[in-house]
Amino acid sequence: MSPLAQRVAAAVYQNAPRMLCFTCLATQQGLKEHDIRAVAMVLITRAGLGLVQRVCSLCQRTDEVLVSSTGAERSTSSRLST
Amino acid sequence: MNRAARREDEAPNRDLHRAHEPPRSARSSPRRMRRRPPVILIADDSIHTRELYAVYFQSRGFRVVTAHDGAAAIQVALDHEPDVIVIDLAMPQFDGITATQRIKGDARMSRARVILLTGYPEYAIRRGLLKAGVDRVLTKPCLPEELERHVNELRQPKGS
Repeated sequence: MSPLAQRVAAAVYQNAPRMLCFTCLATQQGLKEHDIRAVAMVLITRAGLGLVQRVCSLCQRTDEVLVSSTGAERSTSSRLST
Repeated sequence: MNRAARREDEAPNRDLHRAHEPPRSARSSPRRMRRRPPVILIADDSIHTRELYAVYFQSRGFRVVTAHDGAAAIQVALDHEPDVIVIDLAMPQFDGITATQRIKGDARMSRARVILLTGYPEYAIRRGLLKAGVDRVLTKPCLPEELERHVNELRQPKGS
């Protein structure tokens, strides 16, 4: 993986259990949103991250977010249990 | 060998560079009867993205050609006449829009379907991409299964 992909993956894991939309994740990391989107698929297919629709922990908008696989399972479980 | 136009599949390329062919419109029916595999061009400056999509679409029965920048995308498209072109917006040399305009400007490629991938969610609205010859705009990240669904929809004859 590229250094950018590794950095984004690390940020997603460090943010867990919080989930940030692409816009907020880019702002938090000082990166451009389209750069994060460009590496997202590699992270999903090769780094075990997931792509789900969730409420962003910062801006509260419902949007696609990158999550660690454990975070995605936890979030799905909590949603199903409510 | 043209390094800019690296083919992902190693199948014999006898049918790739066809000399003295009739126009695409005239040969569409006979070619369909021969059931040639659909050809898809993946144009993206990320080798990871190209490889991922290439492996996936090969496994789904497509013949895949790739390009790593806008100029290569134009050349590969004209050489291989893909049925569907998946092109990244932000690429070196020419961006996806310019490359699409040049590809669609060639009479042989006027019927090719183009999917533009972008990391800029609002870009389609701002730039009027459909007028440039882009058939669909998808926001990254676009998983292979989702991309295949759009590709197959575009491959359907219009009105069906």
